[in-house]
Amino acid sequence: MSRTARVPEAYVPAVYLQTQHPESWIDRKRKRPQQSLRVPHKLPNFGPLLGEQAVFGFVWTEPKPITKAIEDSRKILELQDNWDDEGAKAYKKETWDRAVEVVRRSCEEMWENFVTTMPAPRILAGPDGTIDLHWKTAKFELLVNIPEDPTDPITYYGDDYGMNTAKGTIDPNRPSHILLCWLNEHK
Amino acid sequence: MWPVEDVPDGDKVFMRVHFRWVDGGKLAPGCFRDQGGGMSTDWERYSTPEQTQGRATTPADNGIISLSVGGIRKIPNLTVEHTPEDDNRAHTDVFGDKKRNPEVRMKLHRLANWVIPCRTVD
Repeated sequence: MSRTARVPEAYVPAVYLQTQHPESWIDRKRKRPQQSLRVPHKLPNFGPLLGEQAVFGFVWTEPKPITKAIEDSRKILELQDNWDDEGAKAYKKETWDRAVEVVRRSCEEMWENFVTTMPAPRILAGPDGTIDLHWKTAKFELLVNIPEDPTDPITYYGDDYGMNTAKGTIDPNRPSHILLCWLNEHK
Repeated sequence: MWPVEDVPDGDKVFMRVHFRWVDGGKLAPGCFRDQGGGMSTDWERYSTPEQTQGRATTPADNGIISLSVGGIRKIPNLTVEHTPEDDNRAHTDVFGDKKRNPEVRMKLHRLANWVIPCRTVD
């Protein structure tokens, strides 16, 4: 039996279920085999319960709060130049796409590395055409800024309202394990 | 021309916030941005919140937040300077990079208190 046929809908990200046949997600994973075939070293043995697909990492599902945060943020793209009457810039679709990619990739990496989900950020209009990802929980606050220029680094700052802080830049083309570890530790 | 004065740490400044900077009832940290060199605010000594709101293009589209001057000065790399304009003696700039510095915007966000709440999105 092919692996495609064995993936139950429950394990396909909700965003794909809303718009496409579940196989679309599987096709996407096949195009990125380095992710689809990676077996998280901490993955619990779901085999007896879920079948072979669990071993191949198909158990990851985009959490609904993440999907909702992404969909809610589409309104950013409707803002035109001077949308606040004080000269605020409009937002490029490319900037929003990169912001969404950072959220989705972080979420997937959290699952693959820590077998857990991350809290959903607010995806917000930032200053001068940039987009902010804002996490604020009872335990921590984190602000990540996605620049308009794709060659500029992503910048972030977070703290736990105390002495533990995280601050730095992220290569937009690579996941930030430091940021993921920090998110996992403080979520 | 108004004289430039020292703004004491114990005072507050007011800042306009357009309703589109409020998402789900919460202020977006992106509202803290520079316009022509610094972030424009009004010193409470020479302006009421209502006067600050009244200087907006469409006052009803804007709420007003207050920020403690001493609190702003505790944020790394920020300064508060009275920069009066002919038609606005209260005008005060908060200088220091905000766009590329999430730490600054997050800490300004924590300092902010609504004085005149924004209307919500229609």
